[in-house]
Amino acid sequence: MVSPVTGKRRLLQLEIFPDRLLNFETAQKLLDELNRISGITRMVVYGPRLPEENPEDLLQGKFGVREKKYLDIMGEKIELTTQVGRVWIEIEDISVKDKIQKACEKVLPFPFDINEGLYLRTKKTITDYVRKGGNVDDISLGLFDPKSKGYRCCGEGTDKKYDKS
Amino acid sequence: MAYKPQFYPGKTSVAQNRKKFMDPSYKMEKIRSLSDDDVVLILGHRTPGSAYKTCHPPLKESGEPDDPIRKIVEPIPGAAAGDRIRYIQFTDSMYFAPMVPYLRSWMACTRYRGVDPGTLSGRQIIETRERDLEKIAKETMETEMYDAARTGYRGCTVHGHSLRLNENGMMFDMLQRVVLDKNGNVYGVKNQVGDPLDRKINLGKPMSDEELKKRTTIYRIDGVPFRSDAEVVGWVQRIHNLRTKCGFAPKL
Repeated sequence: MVSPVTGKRRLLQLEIFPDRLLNFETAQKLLDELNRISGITRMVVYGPRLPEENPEDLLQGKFGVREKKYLDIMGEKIELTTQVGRVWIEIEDISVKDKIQKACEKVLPFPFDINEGLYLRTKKTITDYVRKGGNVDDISLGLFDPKSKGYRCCGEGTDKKYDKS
Repeated sequence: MAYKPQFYPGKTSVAQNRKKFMDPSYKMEKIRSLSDDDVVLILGHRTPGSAYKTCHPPLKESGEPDDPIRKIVEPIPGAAAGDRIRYIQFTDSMYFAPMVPYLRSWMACTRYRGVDPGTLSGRQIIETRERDLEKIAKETMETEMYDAARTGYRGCTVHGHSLRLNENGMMFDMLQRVVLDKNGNVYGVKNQVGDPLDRKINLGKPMSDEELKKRTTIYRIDGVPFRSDAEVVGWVQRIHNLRTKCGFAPKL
């Protein structure tokens, strides 16, 4: 898809919107399936902040035990801090949508929607210049929360070296 | 003929449920048992077994000036004893919770005396004297007004009303005050402000979706739609119309 204004190739974006908030195990299964699909360029998991305590610990009277949870994304460990409610995906071609649909049907035990729209930023904003001096590459654009203190991006080509602040 | 309040218009199941919750002559169906200490622990205002703290002397000893209204209105027990004013707050999920915040306030006004209910979009708070609050909290949490999964006691961090449910059917709670166990029961493990409890409190099994749809007081497009009840729509429009007109021109 070519932008009528800039003439540049624009990628399609999808949103997976499940009927329920995913728990850690289901989110990992979904991401495993999505990782196998070629044609996905970028992906963001979005949702409310993940409660840190484990329910099993709470039932046994263990309070304040905080175990970090790590998602395995293409071999790279990334800390999960949100309870996954939506997944935003940028794809190269609309044919990838069918593969994503099948992956979701395989993993999610409840209904879900797949919406097309614009969910990830495609242009640098003033915030990117203020916080990172404009040193945000095309892959990282819109992938991180400007207010977040921790590092939450993974993948080749992301600007990790600028994201340690 | 004596006036008989109708409480709420409409003939759909949602309207009928709203009507019965607001009608003080209707006896709520009890679906779980909580001890007095359980309720005190959940509220978190005092230690179980301790005396009620007071903010003024008992009314009998305070020597108030003579007043005809004081003779007409009997004080509630907490006010007579001079108890502090405390609160309980509930969050109701929009996924067919048995109650809806506005109805909680209407219900508090029709069923109880001396209460100060406050309503927000997803939560509702009731303030009253401590010993009366404990009675109200117990009645609310033991009966069909409360569901273990779709209703939550939340003094703070109330977010969850408009969020999708967790995979296990529980309403999202950042502080995880209540937890679903493998045996199907929901246990309260923290008090309403998220402080750990010494022991867990059994709140029973959550209602099934069919049961919730039968008992709910929330109009929803995938349950009983608001527009399916012509009488309710008519009354809401009439009240909206009158309020708008009188707001612009008090002479009307």
